[in-house]
Amino acid sequence: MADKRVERAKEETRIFLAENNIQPQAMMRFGEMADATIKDKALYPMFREQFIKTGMADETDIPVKYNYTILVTISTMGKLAGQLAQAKIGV
Amino acid sequence: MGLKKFKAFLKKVAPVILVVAMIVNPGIAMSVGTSMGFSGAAAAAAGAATIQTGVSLAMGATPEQAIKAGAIAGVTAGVGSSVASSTGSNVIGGATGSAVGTAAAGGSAQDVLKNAAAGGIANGLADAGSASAGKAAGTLIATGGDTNAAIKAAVTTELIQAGQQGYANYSNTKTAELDKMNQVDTTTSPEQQAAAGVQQLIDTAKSQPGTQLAQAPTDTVSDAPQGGTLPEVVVTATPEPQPAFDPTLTFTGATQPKSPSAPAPAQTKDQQIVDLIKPTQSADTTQPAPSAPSAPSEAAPTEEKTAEQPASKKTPSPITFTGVTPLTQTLGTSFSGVPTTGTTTGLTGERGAGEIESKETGKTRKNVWNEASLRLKDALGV
Repeated sequence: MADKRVERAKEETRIFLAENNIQPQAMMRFGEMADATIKDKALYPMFREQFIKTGMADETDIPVKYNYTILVTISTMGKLAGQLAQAKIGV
Repeated sequence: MGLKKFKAFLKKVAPVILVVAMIVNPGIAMSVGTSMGFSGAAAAAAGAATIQTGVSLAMGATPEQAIKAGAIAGVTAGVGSSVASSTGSNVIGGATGSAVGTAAAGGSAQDVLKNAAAGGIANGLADAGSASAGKAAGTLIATGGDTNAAIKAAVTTELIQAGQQGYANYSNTKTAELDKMNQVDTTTSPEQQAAAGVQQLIDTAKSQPGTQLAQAPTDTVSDAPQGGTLPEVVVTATPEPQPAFDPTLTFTGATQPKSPSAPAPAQTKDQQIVDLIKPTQSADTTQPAPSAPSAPSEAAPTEEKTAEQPASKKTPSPITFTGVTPLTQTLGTSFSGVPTTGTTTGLTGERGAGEIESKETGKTRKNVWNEASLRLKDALGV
């Protein structure tokens, strides 16, 4: 059950990276940034600015106010992107 | 990535990703809880509740459903964390954790969390609601089930502001709806519709030349006549006299004197004929008139009977039921024995045809044929 959900989450992440021409390594870095922002709310403005500069989203995509849902989602996608990268490399 | 694309992605992927968040990244719940000010099992519970609430909301669940799922996940994570940990100041005993878990499963803890965070979630502040749920769950675990502390922790300034804004929005919406309903009711009230219709008719009539509007009196209408008096009523028809009942009338055959107030009965036609043909006679009708011829022998009794009832002839009454018909008696007396020719009777009195008195004796002539009798018959044309 859990494996199926994880596999589905991986597939959704892969599609998202492929449609937006985003490398899995880039997604892993944003995931790491999200983890750091979750632990330290003061980093949230910097994280938001970097996310917009790289073309991941517009200014209106990410709320100015601290948002747990977005941070947890990006953090988890970073983990899944790392698993996709490892699977692609065949490690 | 454009705006619509990223939002669509989050809407599509977030539920799928968040579901596996605590599986793929086991420390994420603790990190979230810690960032919320909790530590140990409480941090794990708060983080789990926050994430799970976000997942439920992202999947389209109602705020109540999201809070319930988040509370259960948070309390379960907190209990599991406390059981797994055997040392440390944040360790919560297994019994306490079980009690909290049972309370959460039974609904009381869920209600606490729901009431604490529903305001923020209901107003679209999912993150505030998730954070409130996480804080409530973490506080509930940290305090060993102190719901008051959980509520106090969950009701943050942001949540209060969100609730106030939400209430203001709700109030404004309902006020607008009520105003609209009142406006509709006002325009559709029967009284105003009637008034508008009357006014429209008046305006239409005024706009058409030659139309005169009848002005209805606006004063009070009462039954009392003007001046306080009613005109006298004159009856011109003559009242028909009502026949008075005569209590003295009897039906024994005897004629009773009539009441003076009763009108005289009109003469019948038979009575009038009797009066015309009846000669003027004295009270004693038994004496024949000198000029009257000798009546036949069979007529005498009839004549006597007639003479015996002078009162009934003089005062005829239609209410005489004696069984004797006066008219029949009179006619029988007057016309019995009278020849049907009538002509001879008119010239010579009552006698037989051809009969004529003798000039000499005055007696009835004999049935003889002579010159005198022939001359008379020639004269008569008989």
